[in-house]
Parts: sequence; C-alpha cells; structure tokens
Amino acid sequence: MKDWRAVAATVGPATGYLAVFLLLPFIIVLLLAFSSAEGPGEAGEFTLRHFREIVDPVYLTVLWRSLRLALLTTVLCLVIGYPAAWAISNLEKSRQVLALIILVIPSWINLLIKNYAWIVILRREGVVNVILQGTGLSSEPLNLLFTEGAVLVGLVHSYLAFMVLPIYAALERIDRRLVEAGRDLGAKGWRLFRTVILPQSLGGVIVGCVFVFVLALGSFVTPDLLGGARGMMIGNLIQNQLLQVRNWPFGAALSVTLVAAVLAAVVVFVRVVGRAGGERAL
Amino acid sequence: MKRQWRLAGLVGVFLFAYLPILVVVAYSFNDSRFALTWNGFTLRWYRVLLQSPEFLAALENTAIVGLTSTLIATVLGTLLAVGLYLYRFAGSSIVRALLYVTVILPDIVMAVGLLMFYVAVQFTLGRNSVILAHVTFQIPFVALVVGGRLQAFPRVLLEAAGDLGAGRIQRARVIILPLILPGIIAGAAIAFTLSIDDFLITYFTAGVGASTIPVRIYSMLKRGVTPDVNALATLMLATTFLLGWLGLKLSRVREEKLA
Amino acid sequence: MRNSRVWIRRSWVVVAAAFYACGGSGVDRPPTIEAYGLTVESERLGNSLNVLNYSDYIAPALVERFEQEYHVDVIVDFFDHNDAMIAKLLAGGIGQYDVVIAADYAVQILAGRQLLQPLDHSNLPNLANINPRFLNLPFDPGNTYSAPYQWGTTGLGIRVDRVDTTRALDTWALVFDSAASLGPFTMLDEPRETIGAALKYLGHSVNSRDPKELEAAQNLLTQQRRRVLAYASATGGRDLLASADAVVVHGYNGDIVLTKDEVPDIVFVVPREGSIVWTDNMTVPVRAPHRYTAEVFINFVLAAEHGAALTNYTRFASPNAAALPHIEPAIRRDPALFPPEEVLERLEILEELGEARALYDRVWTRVVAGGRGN
Repeated sequence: MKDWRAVAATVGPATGYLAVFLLLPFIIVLLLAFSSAEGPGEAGEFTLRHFREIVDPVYLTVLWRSLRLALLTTVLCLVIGYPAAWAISNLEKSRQVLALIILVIPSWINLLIKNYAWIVILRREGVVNVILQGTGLSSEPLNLLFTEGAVLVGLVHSYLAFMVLPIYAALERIDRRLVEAGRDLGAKGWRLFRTVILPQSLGGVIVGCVFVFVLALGSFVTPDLLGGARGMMIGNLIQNQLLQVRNWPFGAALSVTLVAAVLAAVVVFVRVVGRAGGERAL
Repeated sequence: MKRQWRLAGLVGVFLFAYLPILVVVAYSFNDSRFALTWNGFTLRWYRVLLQSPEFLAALENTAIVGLTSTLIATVLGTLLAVGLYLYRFAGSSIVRALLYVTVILPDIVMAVGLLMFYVAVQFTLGRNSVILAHVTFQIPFVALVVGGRLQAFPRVLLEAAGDLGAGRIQRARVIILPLILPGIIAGAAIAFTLSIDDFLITYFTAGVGASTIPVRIYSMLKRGVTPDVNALATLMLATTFLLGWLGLKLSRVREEKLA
Repeated sequence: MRNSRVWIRRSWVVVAAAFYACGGSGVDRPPTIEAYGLTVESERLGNSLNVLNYSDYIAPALVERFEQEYHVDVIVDFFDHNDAMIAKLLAGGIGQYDVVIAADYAVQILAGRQLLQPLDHSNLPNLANINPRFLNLPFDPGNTYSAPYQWGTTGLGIRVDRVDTTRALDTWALVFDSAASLGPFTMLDEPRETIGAALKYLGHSVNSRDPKELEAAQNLLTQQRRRVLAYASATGGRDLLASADAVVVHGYNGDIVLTKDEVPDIVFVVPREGSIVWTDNMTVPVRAPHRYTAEVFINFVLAAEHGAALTNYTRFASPNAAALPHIEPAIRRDPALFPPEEVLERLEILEELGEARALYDRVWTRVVAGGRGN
C-alpha cells in the first residue's frame, strides 16, 4: 500500500522530530570527530587522526570488557525475563497489569540509590554475607563487592524490566488455544515452546535483547559504583574523554565508532534471529 | 510449565527485584549521615525532606517532565510503529536505522550534542528544553516495543477490514488500537522509566531551576548521599503503590458496574 | 552538632525577621542599602540571582539572609563535578548563571577560554578579609576572576580502631607499598589527585611535565591497581571508611573530619611526602544576567561572620582571616582543617597543564582501563 498521505501522517511526525533533535546534534558530533578543532564552535580541518588513536590496546580492552558484560547481562536478563514474562502473561487479565506494575516500579527508583543499596547488600558485613555465614555456607565473609559479578548483578537488576516488558507485549497476544492445540498434537515442553510459543514472541525477544544489550553497553554508573571504578567501560571512557580530558574530538570519534559498530551488530542480529525464526524482522 | 512452579519462579524474580528496594526503604530510617552502616531508627530524614523546597521543586519538575514527555513520545512512537508496520515505503530501513542510532547513542554524546544544538538555534534552556530532549530518546523505545508486538499480527487482518469498507481512521481505532494496547502500555512504561532516571541529558539541557530529582541526587555525590534520598524514594514508592491500588480498585468498581 | 546547626539557622532567621519587622515596609527596597562595607544602589540590583554550586556547600541561612537583606530571590542549582560544570559552560550554558563556585584549576580553564567576567574590586571591599596566602594565587593572578570561598587539603583517612597504629600512619606508603599496607584501601576517582599522590610518593611535583616521572607514576599506579579496593568518589570513599569496608581512604580533609561525628576513631593525615591543597572560588561567568548583584553577593559572602557561618556549616576551612574568631572552637582547633605551618609547607596547588595534560590523561586511562580481570 503506497498511500503517501497515510505514511506521512504516521511516520512523519516522529521521523521529523528525530531528524531535528537527533540527527542535527549527531551531525554536529560527527563533524567534530573528523575535525582538527579542539572543541565545539571552533573551526578546523578534516582529519582522521582521532580514529587512528582508537586503535590502541587500552581502548580495545575497554571495548572488549564492555561487550562481554553487556552480552552476559543480556543473556541473564533473557533467561530470567522470558519465563517471568510468560508467567505474567498467563495470569488472569486483571492481575497481569498489576504484576507488570509491581515489576516495573523498582526501575523507577533512582539508579544511584539502588546501587548504594547493592553496596549495603554485598559488602563484607552485608546482607548476603550474613546469610551465607549464618547458614554455614561459608566460613568467612566473601569479597562480593567491587567485582565484575557485582556489576553484573546491578546491571541485570536495572535492566530486567526492559526485557520483560517487550516480551510480555508479544507473548500476551499468543492465542492460548494454539498452545493447547500444540499440546494435544503431542508436542511437549521444550518442543512446544520452540515450535509454537517462541516463534510468535520473537519480535519481543529481539527488541528486549537489543534494549538490554545497548543500555548495558553504555552504562557507567553501575560499573563505577559496584565495580569500584577499576573496570572502565566504554560509557565511562567516552564520558571521561568528553568531561575530564576535554578531548571532544576524540570523544566524538569514539562515539561515532561505537554507534557504527553497535548498529551493524544489531542489524545483523535482528536479521539473523528474525530470519531463523521465520519472522519478518523489524 | 506447571502452574505452581511458574508462580514460584515469578515470586522469586519479584524478590530479586525488590531486595535493594527493601534496603532503600529500611535505610530511609537510618540514624546516620552515611549510607552504609545501620545506626538506629529515626524519622529525621523525612523531616529534612519535607522541609526542603528544592527537593519538592525537583519532584515537581520530574513529574511534569516525565508525564509530558512520555505522553508525547508514546503518541509519536506508536504512530511511527504503525506506519512502519502497515506500509512499505522507500526509506523505511533508514527510519529503522535512525531508531537504532538513537537508542545506541551514548547519553553524554546526546547530552552535549543537544546542548550545542539548542545554543546554535538560540533556544532558551528551561524545562521545555528538557522535555524535548527526553522525547528524543523515548520515541525509539516506544516505537520498537509497539513494533515488536505488531510483528506477530498478520496483515491479512487489517487488509480484510479494509475490504469491508471501514474507513482508515475508524479501522485504526477499532481494530489496530486494541490489538497493540499492551504494547503501547509497555512502551509508555519504559519511556517513563527512562525519563525519571535520566541524569546526564537532563543536566546538560536544563535551564536554571529546572533540575529534576536525578540531577539533585547525582549532585549529592560531591558532599555525600544522605538518607533523605532514601526517604524520597520511599515516599515515591508509597505514592506509586497507592495510586496503583486505587487504580485497580476503580477499574474493579467499573467492571462490577458494567456486569 | 546537627542540632546546633539547626539552632544557628533558626536564630538567624528570627534575628533577620525581627530586623525587618522593625525595619520598615519589607517589600519595597530602600534606595541604597549599606551593609558589609558596601553601599549598594538598589536600582542596579536584579530581582533574582542564579547560583551554581556544589550540593550542600552553602548554609541555607546565609542564602536566606542575603535574600532578606537585598530583596533578591536566590536560586541555587547544583553540580557534582567541576568537569560536568565546565563542559556545560563550554557547550553553551553561559548566560544562565550569575555566580559559579569553581575549583582552582577550573577557574584557570574557564578564564583561559574567556568565559569569566573580570571582577570589579570596587564592589568587593571584603576581599581584604581574606588571608593573603590565599590571594593572588598562580591560577588567577590578582584575583581578576575569582574570590576564595573555601579551601582544604587532600590526604588519608584512617580507621585507627581497625589498624595497627604502632606503624607509621602519615605516609603514602600505606597505599603504595604492599609491605606497609594496613588493610583494604581506596583511592580517589580523580586523575590529578591520584596521579599527584603517586608523584609525591616518588618525590616529584604534582604538576610535573616530565614524561619519565609520569611513567614511573604510571608503573606505581598499575601495581597498586591490583590491590586497591576501589577508585571512589570523595564521599563514596568516606562512606566505606565509616562502614570499615576500607580502613584507609584517599580523601579530602572536610569529608573525613565530618565522619568523626559518628565514628570517632578516625584520623586524617597529610602524608609526610607531601600532598595537595585546593581552593574553591566564587566566579562570575561572562554574560551573567545579573552581574552587579553577583558581585554584591560575593562581597556578602566574604564578610567575616558569613565566612564563619559557611565553615560552621560545611566543615571545610575558610580562607577568610577575619572570619576565624567567629568559627566554632572545635572546628577552629582541628588540625585536620586548619593545619600548622609545617604541614602547609609540604602542600602544592594543582596547576592547569595545557598541552602536558595529555600525558596525565594517558596515564589515567591506562591505569583505570587496566589489563585483564579486576
């Protein structure tokens, strides 16, 4: 259907908005990344040297660490979040919204406050260690805080809702009678899931994974507070370059590279998973 | 999956989600300026909070910015998702790419970029500059969530309705809207969450006196995060639960009336 | 301590209110206001004043008093980090704020980019109250752009109830030498501070531009990285000290001293190898909407009793010599806040490094980004 008025009416406003408020600022940043100027508002010449600086083991270490943590977070959120979304979508209609609200509310508490709470929980004399020692599971306090594990816990906790909500939105729509029919036809457990449920929820799964991966990749507060700021992530690095080092062109180049790389990865992921699931990818 | 296991698992997830929240609430009564050790019970932080006009002003800003931006972004994002799904047009992949770019772009880059943009067009910073900035990063999230739900619907359904002569707008309202409503709600919830916890972008695009709660809280890092923020979080939590409970009660009353 | 602060605040409001009840019509401004050594022409005053400051770094009573004295509405916004504040001003946030509290190196950066107004000293007679050692400092010769606000030192906070106090406490070796370590410790998440500490331990200047010295510092910091508990913010670190998750923390004197209220077994030391002294300053950005009012405000804060009120509230030291007699005795006598001469002699002020900055940034990124694992 190629009705231009309809397209313009629906797609137009949002696209126009983003074109102004996102593209223009992004272009400013893009120009800066290729410029020899020191900061915004200064004139400069075209140069690629900022991009060349990126190819340095230090930055690649940071990138690798960020990718690793973001992937782990996504997988954990998926493993925990998908069943949760499924369980919610099987509740009575009226209870579903309640369950969703209850799940989302913790995300509305400020991140900084939540991370401080995690510090209280994970410290040597904190809740977890008290329980572990009390039940005899460990003889002395464990160093749980300021480790990658602590960062993972914090990230998974922060972004779980971003996985559950889209998956729920997709699962809710699945006709339960189809599931029943599948079961009657002899498919059980995993097979039922793989052939009937999963394909129809794939759209939500893809969206949830993209959200969590990207958000975790760009996070900086949680790795700082729960990781002891010893494991710099790409979000910290870009912020560090822009704010502390005030090397705006380099920070801009890093951002452009990050956006390009992640965009490519996301597009590939969406196409591959979408096609494997037999769905038209979003 | 057996029903009991499912419910037990769900409860487990809720416990995990609420563990730090319980700590936040408990520590709002902590008789210590320092965040980590328990030193006795007190209500003084609630007193400090309620006597603090800056916190109340920040709360007002947060609520207005959050609700307004979520509303705008939900409308724009939903329209976008519907358009992308229903119509195939040249440039649709560019629009999709634009959505992903917005989601991927690091906060600090968007923050600084937007500020430079505002300055370039001489847009006065204030609360509106924050709202517009929030809508920018919210739209893609709404659009992608609604799109994820639309994904599973056969187009046949809509084309059939078209054949029956239903007008386009009526068709949208009667057929499409109810189908995607859970997606819209999920998207709006995500958009709201992003808005009320945003610090960097708000900090850079806010005018004088337009600070929100996150900006206030992050600014406390310099001198110490004191438990009055826990008191604030607890109050916000209590209010949300109260409103949610009221909302449910109301919808149940309505259901009973209709029955 | 908290109670006395509230008492002071309330008593001021009462006094000011009484003053005004007797004073006159209240809403209308008198044509001139004579106070704090300055005659102010009311028609030159704005109706509001926008201040950008660190959180909790000015006594609310002080702000209220200014508002009542001059009939000006004061709005205070907060920032957590100089770098974010500078970035905002650089990217175009100029024209929003009248008074900005900035650290020494920040003043140098902002002035260097022509983002600050030169101050009209004829509006600042109280500048004479300031201790001369805090005037005319390298980052702002002649105090063209800034007036001192508070000052402090960087050092180590130690839980003496949890460590072996028979060993030497006043040395950076506690954090840099594994043999001298007393237990878990944190360093500041501030490049210049932490690299500066390493440089001092190695016997160099915190403003060194020598690549070899910086390389040595980097090696030292890389070794330390394996043992450090965390690179924490100033207050994050002191929270960890208060909870004894760390027994030694790298931090600022005011923050550590404040912890003693609840945890008496804490001492603050300035290591014998030397450390950093810093000042926070009041500045007026270019294109400030209410420039005259800003200077009146600065002069107000520089008054003797107000300098004392500031310190009594923030618990950081005041550079205001005339204020000293009005400061609470317990604070005045604390050697951590007002160190003796011999300690002051081994302190250095941070200078903006210009091009050499890149060296420090590279060191810091390498240290924090780190190698494999934690």
